[in-house]
Amino acid sequence: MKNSWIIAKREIAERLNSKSFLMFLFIGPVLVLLALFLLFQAGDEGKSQLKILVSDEGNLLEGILHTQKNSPIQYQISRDYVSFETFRSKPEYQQYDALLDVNHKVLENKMCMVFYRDKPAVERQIGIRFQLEKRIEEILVNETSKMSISDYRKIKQPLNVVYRNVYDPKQEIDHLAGWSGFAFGLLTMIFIFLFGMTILRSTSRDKSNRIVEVILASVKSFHFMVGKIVGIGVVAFLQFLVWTIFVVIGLYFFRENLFPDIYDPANLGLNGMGSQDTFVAEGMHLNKIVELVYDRINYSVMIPIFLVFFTVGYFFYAAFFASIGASSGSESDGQQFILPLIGLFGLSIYAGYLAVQFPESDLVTYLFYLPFTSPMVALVKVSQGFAAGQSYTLFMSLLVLLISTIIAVQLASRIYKNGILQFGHRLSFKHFWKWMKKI
Amino acid sequence: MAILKIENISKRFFEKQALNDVSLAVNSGEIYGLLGPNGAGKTTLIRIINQILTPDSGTIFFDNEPLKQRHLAQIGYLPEERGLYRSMRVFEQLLFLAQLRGLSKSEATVQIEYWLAKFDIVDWKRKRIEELSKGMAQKVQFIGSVLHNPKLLILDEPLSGFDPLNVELILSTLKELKEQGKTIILSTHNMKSVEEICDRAALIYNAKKVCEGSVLELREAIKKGHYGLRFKGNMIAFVNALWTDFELIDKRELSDNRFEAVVAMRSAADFEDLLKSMLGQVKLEAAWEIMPSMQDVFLQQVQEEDTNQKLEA
Repeated sequence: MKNSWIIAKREIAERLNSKSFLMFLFIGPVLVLLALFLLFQAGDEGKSQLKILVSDEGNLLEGILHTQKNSPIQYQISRDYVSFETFRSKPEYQQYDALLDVNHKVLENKMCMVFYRDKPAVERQIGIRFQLEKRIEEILVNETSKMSISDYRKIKQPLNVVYRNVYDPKQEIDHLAGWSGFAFGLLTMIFIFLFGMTILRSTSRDKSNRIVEVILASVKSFHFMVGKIVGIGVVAFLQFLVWTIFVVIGLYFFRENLFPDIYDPANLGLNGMGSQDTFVAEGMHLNKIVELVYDRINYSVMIPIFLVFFTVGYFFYAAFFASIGASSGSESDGQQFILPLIGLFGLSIYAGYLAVQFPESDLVTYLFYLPFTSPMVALVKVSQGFAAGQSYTLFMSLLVLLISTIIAVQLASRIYKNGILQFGHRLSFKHFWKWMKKI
Repeated sequence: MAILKIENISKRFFEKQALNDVSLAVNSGEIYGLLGPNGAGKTTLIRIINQILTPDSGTIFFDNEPLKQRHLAQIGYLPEERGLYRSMRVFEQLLFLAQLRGLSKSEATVQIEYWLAKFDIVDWKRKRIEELSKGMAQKVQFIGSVLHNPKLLILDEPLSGFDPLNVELILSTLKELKEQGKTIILSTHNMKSVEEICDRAALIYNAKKVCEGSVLELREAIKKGHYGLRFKGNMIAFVNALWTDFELIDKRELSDNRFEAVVAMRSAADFEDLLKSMLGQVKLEAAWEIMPSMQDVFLQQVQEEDTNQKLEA
């Protein structure tokens, strides 16, 4: 295996000396952070500090729609009707961000309009609705009954029909946690595919520039294949490590500087508003991605299991990529054989989605043990947690993947050995079959 | 003593029989020519010796031991299809190849420095392979095959792609290696180089070994008793002098009254009789026995084999 390591070292050096690799090594995490930033923003987009002019021609809200000092939503009541055209054009209204049109029939039609200049953040929209609804509610209760507002609110609670999985009545397995596993699984599959393609291209290139014959005169084809897979795998791992460090630093920076108060209820503009639980909860779920990234992922469990499934899954898929690369008649040949692999990657990602949505289904259980999909499904399962006494299934899945990997690497080495010195043919499944049978 | 003994090697690639019961022996310290037309099975045999391919049957002995992976460190190989990593620098490339053959970094560095200096290409050390011309890359590849100081060197078409100056350089290097006691197997279509440097040769044709022997023996085996003469004088007088004992096969006028002729013996007459018959008739400048070239050996053996196969069919 000493020669495998020499081959691996050369593969590592080639990539580390490549400008495009180094560029992608650092641009990659920047792109990931940019994507995360945009996702965070999407959940938090819009104007967060609002000054609102309330057109209250029915004089319903004067004295009851309060604005607290330092609240992100500031109301200014106007007893005169202000049309949205006037609000839009008149200079004295330019200081306001939005016009809240409370029509005089609001108690009957339960409808208000907000005309904004820049769309308010979702939290602010909820805050405005919350505050207005509470005030209208108070007026209605006062006008139509002798009941106190607190009594009314006690009986007003809507009927809440909760659906629970009989096997998970406490909802310990929640989808949000599942998505964190899905994210890890997706990352695994993306890295496996990217570096699998690198193996394929590198093997085809070695064939087309005829270096293989020189190397095979010193190294067994199996050791050559293993060296190539290990070398490219080390680079993949290194890239993953660099990306992780950069992304973690970036996420820390986001939290400290750009999204410092994502869970702070004060930011919903609900200070001192009494019963807010439902709305706070609603607000808390606004930015699930932020919650997923910062709070839901148990990194101490996920990262070791991710690394194990990443490594074994990488070797499993790498065996297929290496076989295709070694069998191709030319550098461009073999491209059509990537399609079935892309199909398997698609299946794997879909399996991850199924595992998030239907964790207890029979299909997901099969996919948990299928080596093509297990790296993805296992990570979702781990993030969801296992019921007591069921964690052994994770090791069973890993064992199946490990045995499948050994078989795949053995078969791939046969194809590699018999195909690597064949040139100029058009690759077909017949070749794979012949070379796989030949010892 | 044979350093490499090949016994009854056969190899089939699906429909095609690439080698059919081939046996040969390469003696220690000799340059052995492996000849044959394209597709005859030479490269397959070389790949089997290098353990790139496994034979269907037969055995190979290296230094009287069955050939194993560990012996490859004592074998150097220059394949016909040259290949180097284009993005690697010359030194790194050679270091990589040397390490694969079992040299440590320090040993490899000493050898690389020696060979680069010998071939007067020290300046290329830091150049990338893609910056080199084809001939320059060939030199690097040649160095890659010898820098681990192998006992046995297998060269598949080592002269192709080289200009005449570099052909001379490679041939003289091979002679030097032979003097150092190395054994060299040379697979080539360049028959002139076979005549020049090979001690023995074998011809592979249609997956079989057709003949094997010393280069001189192979050439003598097909010689026809033809002699060449260069003389000044009258051609009619020359033909008259041949009389009934010799037959004029070919003639060529070099200049006025200066000819070169090829003659064959008709009876029991020999070379000495021929020289005697010329005395007083023409002014003899040179006389020699015409030996068939390795090219002739090659062509004749191939034709004979084809005829035999047709008869068998």
